[in-house]
Amino acid sequence: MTSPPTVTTLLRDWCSGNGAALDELTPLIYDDLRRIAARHLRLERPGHTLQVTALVNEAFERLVEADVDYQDRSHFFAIAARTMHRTLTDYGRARRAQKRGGGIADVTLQEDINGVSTAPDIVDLDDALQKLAGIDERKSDILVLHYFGGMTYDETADALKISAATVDRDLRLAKAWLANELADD
Amino acid sequence: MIDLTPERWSRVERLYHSAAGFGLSGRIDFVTDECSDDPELRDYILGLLQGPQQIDATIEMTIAETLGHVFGDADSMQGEMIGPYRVERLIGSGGMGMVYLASRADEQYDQQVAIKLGRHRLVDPQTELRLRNERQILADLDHPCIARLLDGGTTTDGVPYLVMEYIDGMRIDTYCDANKLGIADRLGLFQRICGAVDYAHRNLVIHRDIKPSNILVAADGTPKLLDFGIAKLTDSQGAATDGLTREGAVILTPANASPEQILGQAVTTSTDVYALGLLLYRLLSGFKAYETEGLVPSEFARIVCQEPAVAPSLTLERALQTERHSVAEISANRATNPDRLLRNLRGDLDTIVLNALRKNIERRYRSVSALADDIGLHLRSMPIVARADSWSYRAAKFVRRHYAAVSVAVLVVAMLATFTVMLSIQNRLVVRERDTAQEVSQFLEDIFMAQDPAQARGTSVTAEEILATGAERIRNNLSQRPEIQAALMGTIGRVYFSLGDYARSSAMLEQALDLRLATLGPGAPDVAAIQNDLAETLLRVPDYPRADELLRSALAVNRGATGPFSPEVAKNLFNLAELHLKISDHDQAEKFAAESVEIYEQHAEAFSIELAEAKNMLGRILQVRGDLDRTEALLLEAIDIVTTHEGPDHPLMAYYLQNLGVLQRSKGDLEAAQRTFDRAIDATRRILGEQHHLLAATLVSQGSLLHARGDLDNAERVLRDALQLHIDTRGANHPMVGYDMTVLGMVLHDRGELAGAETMLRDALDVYAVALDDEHQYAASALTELGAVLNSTGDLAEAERVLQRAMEIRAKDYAQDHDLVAGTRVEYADTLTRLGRYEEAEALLQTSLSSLGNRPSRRLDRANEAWSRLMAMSGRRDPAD
Repeated sequence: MTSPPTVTTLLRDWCSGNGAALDELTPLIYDDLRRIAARHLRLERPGHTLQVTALVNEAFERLVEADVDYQDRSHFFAIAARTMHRTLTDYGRARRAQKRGGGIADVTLQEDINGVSTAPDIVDLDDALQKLAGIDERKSDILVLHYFGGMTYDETADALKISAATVDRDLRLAKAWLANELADD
Repeated sequence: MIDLTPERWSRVERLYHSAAGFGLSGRIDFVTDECSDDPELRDYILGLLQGPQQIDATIEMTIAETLGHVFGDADSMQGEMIGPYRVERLIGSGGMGMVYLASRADEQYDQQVAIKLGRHRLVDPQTELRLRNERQILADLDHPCIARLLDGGTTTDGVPYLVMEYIDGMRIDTYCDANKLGIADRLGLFQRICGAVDYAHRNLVIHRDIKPSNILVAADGTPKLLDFGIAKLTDSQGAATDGLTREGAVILTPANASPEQILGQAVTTSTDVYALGLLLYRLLSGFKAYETEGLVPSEFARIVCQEPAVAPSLTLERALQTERHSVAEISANRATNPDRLLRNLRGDLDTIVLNALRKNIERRYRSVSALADDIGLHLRSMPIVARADSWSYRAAKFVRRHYAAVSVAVLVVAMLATFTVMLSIQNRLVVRERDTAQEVSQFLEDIFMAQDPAQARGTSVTAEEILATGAERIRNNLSQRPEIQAALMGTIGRVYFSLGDYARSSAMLEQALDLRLATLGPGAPDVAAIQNDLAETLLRVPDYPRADELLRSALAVNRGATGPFSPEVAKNLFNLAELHLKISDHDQAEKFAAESVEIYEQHAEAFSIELAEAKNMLGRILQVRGDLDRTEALLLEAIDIVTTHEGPDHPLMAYYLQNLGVLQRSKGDLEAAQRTFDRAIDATRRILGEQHHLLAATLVSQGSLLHARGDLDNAERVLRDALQLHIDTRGANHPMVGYDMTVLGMVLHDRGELAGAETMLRDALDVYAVALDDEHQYAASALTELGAVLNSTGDLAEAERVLQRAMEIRAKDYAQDHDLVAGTRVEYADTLTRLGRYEEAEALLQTSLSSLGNRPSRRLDRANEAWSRLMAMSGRRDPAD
């Protein structure tokens, strides 16, 4: 298991402008997120929804020392959120490709639990986010941090170096846009 | 969709936020005003403002769901250690936790195991207790169809795990489909599972989560029951003893929940019976008993607890209307077609499944073994226990088991089949007697009440069990009341007769007769009644001389006591007619039968079935005597009487129509015969069910007729159905199977499919070799046709050998000028022609042609064909030209 100081150090390096630190940081954070998620999923009752916010928080607490400053904390969350977004989307796209290939094995683990979901799938969501990025990249990014990192307005503002009021404004329109976009599908 | 250019987007941003400051109606005015130049943009912004506000919840759900897939997957544990085992991959998820494939890391031997890992650290002592229980229970279960428990423990995280035998197998439903198992094989597999569950029950273990994914079939075909994840100890009453029931109801898979689990009531062995019912439903029909897709839990719970399950056959039948394709696939996976599958499920199997799925535990099969027993009975064509004992059902089963010999012999020898069903008369008598004799019926009730429930196999006891107990009690307890004793022995004797147990029936009736004679003396009507019943049994034993003596004595008594035209007299006469038909005294038989008809005519209202049966009997006799016109008239009258008095669904209809068809064919009225057979097939299906051998017999009659009419396509189709049904109902080595194959061989020969015909005929001979003695005329028929096929293929040496053998067999039983002899000779003559032995051929053909006469037949056609070939090959002109 990775020792916490390394992550803290890397995080500080990255915040102070060492771009290479991110390449080391991301897999470490990902690995921890994976372990935490897996354990949660294994230990929770079926049907219980695992909140991404809880995951990222737990990873942060495990990986980063308590005395890290607020900005570093925001950056950690941003990395975690983007990692999570990419991981989930990659999985969703791979799964779709498999499905189109017709060969996906039917490993239905939880049979018939809790009826149907009307939610769009992860790929629909990413398609929308990419489309929004084409129109307004910042708003798309804010949505990623919000949904995949569970970040507060202040954390988001910190990570993107904009004001919390802007985050609030952007987020409201971005959500309206997203709702409209997904409803149109 | 709108094209959001940067210009438009900045307007959207500005207007969206400004509009949000207005009230609901103010927004519309504001945006409409601002966007007067761009109505498309106006609509878009108004859409954004009105959009659904629960977007957060939606997105969170999407993310959480994907999270579950990504990290809940195999990868997350792969390579990690659980105790001394290294995880290879996730293989499933049960009620209590995940199941991984793992192997022992610290051992030389390479043993794969399944590890079930709990979902929780052991914080709650209940779970710890439960898992410890489970380990103990499972460790004690030792059955070839139950996955063994090998080990158990706690991970370093404090999560409990169980190590179990890893079964490399296929889910049972997938296995059945992949191997295209037919219904009988599926039932066999299911019975083995019942055996395992029953074993567990006897060890006080309830599975509580039986479902297809918990049953794997190993490569050697052994079904293995997995995951006693929520199995629990039971007390000796079979009811749950601890307080975990309610939680169990939450954990288990909702689609497989029983009503009592949903209602949080006590879970008993009956819950497994229910789950087995669901499983059987799926294995047989391919559909779930309850469609759960898209239902909210409350709705699903209501359906499971309140709505009776739809019979599997009915579900299929409905699906046939809406998704024909999938029903076709389901049938193909069961090595059959939709029609046949439906027929197969209708009746017993529907009943068995529905009985297992009853909402009320009290009304379900009382045990898994009772369920398995009924399946066993069904597989042996015995009456199942589950069904309410309806008349037509018992009749159908009875007829199915006991008319075998009759129908084969009669149908095949000369296509002059005739059948009688005495059952209706018998049953009516039983009822009549029980209704009139109060004391008797009281005693019968006592017999019913006195059955020890602990001895009963299922929810009810069988008639046989009641009879055996009853007979014993009557013999032992009623010696002080000989008149009641005699009446009851008479009743039981007649019931044994109805069940086809003639030995027990005659023994019981002999005792009753002795008692009657001792108490009443020889001239009493009650003595005559017993004599008549005993004679009926003896006709089947058979003991004709004693039956004759008894009937004549009864007739004399009845004529004196009830007058010469009473139904009792008519009945004696009827039995005398049958007796004389059996001993081929046709003059006497006709006289008795005609007299019986005449008397029953006077009681036509009350004795309609008896009248119909008497007419059928007289018809059979006249048919043997060659008076086909009168026979036909009588049969039509009999059909008319049954239809009028009993409706079109009486079992006799199936027999009468078959008889009528055969008669019409022998009269040469092929068109009428074909119509009648169509009716007969329809009626037999409806009345006796799809799996009745009479249906096969009628089908072969129809197939043979279609052949005679030159409709080879339909003949082949119908005959193949008959063949399959005979195999299904009679077994692959029954003479009728050979018979069907022989007729099919003829059709294939006429179609020019020589190879197919030869195979079919040789198969027929193989069946006969097992089923009949070497010298049987059926074999001669198959040999004759085989010889004809070999003539066509040019294998003349073999043809000669085969046909000489056929002629030897024919000569044994038939006179020189018999049609069958001529038929065989014609083929042999054809062999001789082809061998160039023209003179021998001509002599044979001439005698054959003169015995065949002028009546059109396939034999005559073949004789004429052989004659033409002889003329052509010998270079002579046919003098007839």
